[in-house]
Amino acid sequence: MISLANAWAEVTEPCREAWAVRRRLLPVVLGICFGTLGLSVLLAFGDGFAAAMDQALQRAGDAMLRWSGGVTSRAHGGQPAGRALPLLPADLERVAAAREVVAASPDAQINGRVIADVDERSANPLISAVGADWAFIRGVDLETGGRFFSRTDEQERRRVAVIGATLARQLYGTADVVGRTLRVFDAPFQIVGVLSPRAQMMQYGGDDALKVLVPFATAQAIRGLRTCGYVLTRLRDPANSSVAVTALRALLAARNGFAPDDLAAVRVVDHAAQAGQIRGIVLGTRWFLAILGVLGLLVAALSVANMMFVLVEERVPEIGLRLALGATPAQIRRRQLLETVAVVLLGGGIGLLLAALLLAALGQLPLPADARNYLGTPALAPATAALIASLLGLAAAFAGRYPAARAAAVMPVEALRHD
Amino acid sequence: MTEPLLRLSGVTKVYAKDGAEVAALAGVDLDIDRGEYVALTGPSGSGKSTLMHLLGCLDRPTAGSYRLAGAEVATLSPDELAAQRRKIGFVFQSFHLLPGATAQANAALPLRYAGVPPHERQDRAAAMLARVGLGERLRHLPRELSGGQQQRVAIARALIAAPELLLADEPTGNLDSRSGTEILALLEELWREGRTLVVVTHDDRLAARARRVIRMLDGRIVADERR
Repeated sequence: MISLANAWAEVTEPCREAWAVRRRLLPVVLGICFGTLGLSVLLAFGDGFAAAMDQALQRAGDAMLRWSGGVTSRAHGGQPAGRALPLLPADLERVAAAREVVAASPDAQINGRVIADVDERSANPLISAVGADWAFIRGVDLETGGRFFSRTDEQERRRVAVIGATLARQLYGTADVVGRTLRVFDAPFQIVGVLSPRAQMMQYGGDDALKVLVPFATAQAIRGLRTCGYVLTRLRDPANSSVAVTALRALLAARNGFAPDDLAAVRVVDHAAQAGQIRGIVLGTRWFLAILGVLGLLVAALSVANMMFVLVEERVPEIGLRLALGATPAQIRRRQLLETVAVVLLGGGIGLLLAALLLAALGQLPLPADARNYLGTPALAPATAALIASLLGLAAAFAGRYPAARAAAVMPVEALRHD
Repeated sequence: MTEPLLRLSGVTKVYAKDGAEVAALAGVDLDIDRGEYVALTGPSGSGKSTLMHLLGCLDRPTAGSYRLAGAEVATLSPDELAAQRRKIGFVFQSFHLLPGATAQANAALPLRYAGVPPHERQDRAAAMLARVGLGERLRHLPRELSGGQQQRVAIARALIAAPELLLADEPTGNLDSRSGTEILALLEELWREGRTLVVVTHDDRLAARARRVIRMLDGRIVADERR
């Protein structure tokens, strides 16, 4: 039975012997180091990009259908073709009550002039008249200290507004504008929130950062709005958005008297399906980056295997001597494998450390917010590090197996023939 | 009657060389008893080194039987073969020391494969090196030692596992005459302690010191003289 001291010596002695040929092994260690560094950085970028895109998609309404009115393309139920069908508050109520929908909001977009209470600064943004669930459906965040409209705001037709961060800076020179007054539709509105800057994906009607949002009911009261513009719906099951589209179209068709398969009568943009497609592309990109990194590591592992083969050939006399002195082939194989593992783990460990430092440094770079929103912040997640460590283990086993088998197959007499 | 320590029956060793077969040993029969002091001698290419490699289980015969301490070597597994080698002490003409290891580490090497704990290996190696006159050279690397001192380290290594059989292949071949005489005296001292000593040499004066001289020619034993 091998004692603990012997087992420790079995591990440390190959490491010391590898240290004795450190100059020969240095290029191999560096190869593994840079292979690991490359793989780590690629995976970290993939992780960061995927996380950023996922967040961007969530904030763009990744469970959303966006409906808009259209014109019938053919006669149906005694009604002629060419009938305009704007979506009305009654349509909104109908889809909001459907079992496929968890929330619905109008989004009527009006071009108008707004004036700040600072130096009479003005702008002509897109003004969206929306419901209280708009923020939930779109997945938007608000800057600290602000809030979105409540149902009470809607019911009492309060003159409150939420504005985009860029517009806030244009009008006030700062995004800290909660409580300030903004004239909208020639009436004073109190700003109650500022939309957080975010990556703009699947946008409609322009950049949210330049919009002014007001309660739909308030806009109805001031401007006499009759139509909803868009009707936004958040789906209960975004993975089956096509089923929901069919069901909701049938519901609207029944209410408005058009053929359910008349796609021009009401139009729909399936943000949920688009988000799924974009996530698929992101996943493909991550796989591509991972494969590139693994191929790099594989090349490094091949160089390790090659160098270990060379070292074994050089060591045939030494290996033969060890066998002559009583070493078993298994001991020789284990010793050679341990040396390879030590080389790979040393190079891999340094590579992981360098990757962590590089990624930390990249995280500190003053990148534009837009770039950060889209690319994310690459970081070495524990799961990714564990995956890389597992790959290094496989690389070590791959690189070490055949040189170790060659070493174990040496005949002791070869030691003397090399003399 | 007890079986001899080494028994070879019709042992042949054939090598392939340039597409042709060369018989390094051709039907060798040989018994060596425990405690014998044997010199294997003959000209270059006579097969004496090949015979020593077979005796030390460093190589396998092409045909014939070799029994070591009652065990048929051809039937041993790799691990059993390694265990047999641990019972044999080897002394080579060119020492075969690990260049990166100290005298103490070189001498301790066989104990590593015998499963002896590291601290005990070091103690026993130090004691064995002291016995061969190198007690002050424990931490020296081979390149820092003279040829005679390196051969003493090799002898310490050969003895450290207390082997029953000592095989020495031209042990004085790379040494000056004074060092050679000292090494030979050391080996003979070990033989007198009861070990079996087999020395391969082409030097007739050295062979003359043995109690039994086996002369080889063209892979065959042509003379076997006991004194």
